[in-house]
Amino acid sequence: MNRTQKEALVILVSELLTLPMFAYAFYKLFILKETFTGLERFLLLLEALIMVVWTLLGLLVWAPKRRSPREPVADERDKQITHKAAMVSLISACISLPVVSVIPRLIVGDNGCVPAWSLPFIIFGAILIPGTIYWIAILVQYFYRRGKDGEK
Amino acid sequence: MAKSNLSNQIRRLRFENGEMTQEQLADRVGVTRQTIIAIESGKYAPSLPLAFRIACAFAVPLETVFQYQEIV
Repeated sequence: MNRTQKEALVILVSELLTLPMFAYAFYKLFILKETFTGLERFLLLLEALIMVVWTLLGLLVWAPKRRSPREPVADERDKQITHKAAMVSLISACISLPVVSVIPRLIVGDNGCVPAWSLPFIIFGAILIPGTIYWIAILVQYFYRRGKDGEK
Repeated sequence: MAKSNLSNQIRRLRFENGEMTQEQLADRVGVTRQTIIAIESGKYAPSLPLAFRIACAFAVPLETVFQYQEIV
């Protein structure tokens, strides 16, 4: 597993950790139309903290480890894979951003309202979708374009 | 459009060159070991500069390392 794959794995797990948080926030804000209690805010903060610690540990400790000191961080194949993943992510952003923008309005209706502080949640959620697709596309490409690992 | 097939002799050439490991070849041509594995397995077609660097690492012409066959 090279550095790009490790980074993809760390960030993807980190983004998946935020999914329950976003699902709950979405349910609470747009379905129940309530704000968070003190305990809920604490649990959301705890989950965000776990996500940050996991990501920092993964990116600073695990991902930079290399098999050989002469091994490049990324070569032409890695660049090709990340380029294709970026294209897929861009296409998904073009679809997800308008969809995520419209969903809150469709749920709350013309006269409904949501708290102003929920906007960062909506924006972050909209960014999270193409981000997740980017890292999944990287891992999928590495999986399907891997060779048989045989040194002998 | 005709499909193409790129085969290579990297594995054989590695062993003919003092049982060179994939890691040693990767270090010589400046790519990761994973890329060498993918090229050897035919899962990745290298760029022309990389193909030349691999040929240079074995001190053989490019066509000794890579063979191109058109499948109609």
